[in-house]
Amino acid sequence: MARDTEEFESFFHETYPSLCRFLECMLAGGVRASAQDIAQESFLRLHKEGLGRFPEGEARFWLYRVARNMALNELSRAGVRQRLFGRVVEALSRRGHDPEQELEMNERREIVLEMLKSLPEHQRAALLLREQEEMSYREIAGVLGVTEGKVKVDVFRARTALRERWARAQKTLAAGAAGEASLSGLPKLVL
Amino acid sequence: MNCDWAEKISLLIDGELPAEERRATESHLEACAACRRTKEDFLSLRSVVNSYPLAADAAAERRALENILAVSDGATRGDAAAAATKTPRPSWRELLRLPRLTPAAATALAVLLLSVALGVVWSVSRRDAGQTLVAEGPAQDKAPQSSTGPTQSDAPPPKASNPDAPNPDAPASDAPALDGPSEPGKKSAPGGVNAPRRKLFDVPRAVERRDDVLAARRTPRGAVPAGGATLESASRAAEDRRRESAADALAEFRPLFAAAGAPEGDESVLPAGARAAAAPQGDTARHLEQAQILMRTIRNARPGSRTAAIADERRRSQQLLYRNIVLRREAARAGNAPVEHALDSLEPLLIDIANLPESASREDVSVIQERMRRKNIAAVLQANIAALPRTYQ
Repeated sequence: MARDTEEFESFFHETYPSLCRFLECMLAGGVRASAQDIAQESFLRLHKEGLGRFPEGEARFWLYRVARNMALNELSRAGVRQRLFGRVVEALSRRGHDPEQELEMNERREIVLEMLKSLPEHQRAALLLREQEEMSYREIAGVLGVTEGKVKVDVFRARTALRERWARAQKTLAAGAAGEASLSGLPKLVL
Repeated sequence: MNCDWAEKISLLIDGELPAEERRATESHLEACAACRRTKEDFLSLRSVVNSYPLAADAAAERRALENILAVSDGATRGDAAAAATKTPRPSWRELLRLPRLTPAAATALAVLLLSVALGVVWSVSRRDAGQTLVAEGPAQDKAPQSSTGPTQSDAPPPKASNPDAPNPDAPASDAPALDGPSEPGKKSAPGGVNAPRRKLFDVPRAVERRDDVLAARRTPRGAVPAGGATLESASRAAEDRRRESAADALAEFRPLFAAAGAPEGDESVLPAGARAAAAPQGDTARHLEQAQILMRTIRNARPGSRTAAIADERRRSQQLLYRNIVLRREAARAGNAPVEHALDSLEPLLIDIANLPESASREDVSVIQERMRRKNIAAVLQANIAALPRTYQ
């Protein structure tokens, strides 16, 4: 029992930060607390299932699948009031942070989220699992419950769409110095 | 740009291209500047997407793990808090207020239904001999169903696929089962972590959905409760059950309330229904006031010089923590989002204070103080205290 808990804790610490990032990007603009909530619930379900029941390496895919389904649920929920309230509380809670650091982090987040938001959900999920989680197409297909062929197409379309969007954004921002400043922290595309 | 090559480049950077095609694509890249640019762009996009920062909130991570282990531990040990606040999902039988049948009664009912069915068939066959075969067909089909129906629903339903392997599709059923969009082509298997349940009626579905959410919220930081019309349309029976559950939860924690100094006498002036509904609000106001005092003490604490006082705060925090869990769930049931959120914000702080070491170091306390500032917990508590009625005053 103690060994199971130890194993679970190790898996948790290894996976929690990246799962939260995946969920934040999936929710693309939702409150951060929602991503953390979903991550926690996903892990809770995993703990109840029992980590030991999964074949080697499969727990991570199961976890992402659960989390993605819950994120879809969250995206579709009409909890506008909840989200607004969450945003207000988040805004209040930011007071103690270093403003410059906070601004930079937020800009970075906003840019990525804005780009991802433009993608259909299935393309977004496939791209995030590929780029951030470094899953193979076969693994992504398992998580999303689709064929490898669809994953291949979705990842490619997502890249193509983001490339075009990024090019347009760069052209727009090139006109203003403010735009240059806001993108200075990110690698630029050569177009 | 040639799209055929672009797709191959996408596969190339993902390492998904067979060896032969990879060589061909690499050869092409040497010769084609546009495709090299495409590859650079795709790689740059990768680094842009990866530049999104990882969640680095170690405190939130630790809190989440504690919550998960606490909830799981509570569930397995029959922990009082978990048991008191857990709302069992009402079965279709309970919702329709049908009595639970013993196997013998179920068999008798099945025989009775079979007799009625055969009687119908017999009477129809007498009236119209030509239709006998038509009437016997469905009757024979129905008979085994009615005889096995009640007993089947008592037995745990089989899993959708391999019973030994966890069902990864199970949560997928939650997404469309709640307000979410259904994924085209995705098989919907009921259940989740719990064994899948047979869906016999559509009517209690809203109640099931609500209880799914509550079951999922057996964590201190659970999902946002589903709101809206579907929940309001849940049956009166389910509502009664919730109220009884709330009253039971409060009754079970009465000793804790008393230990924390909460007066109880005034409850008797309230009617039974109102007591279940109104008492939590009064409790909540008082609870938030006590939490506010505790938070102020911690905020002003000087670790090292007042270790005894910190020990006292730890004890108070433990008492408040149990009450916080109960009240938060009450707020969730009542759909009181602001109060729920305030209690939700408070809970991790109470856990942290309760878990402080005997002689807390400066770092231990300052971490909590910093978190309090970040959450702006003082303002959140004050706003809710001002808004809540005070039953006990």
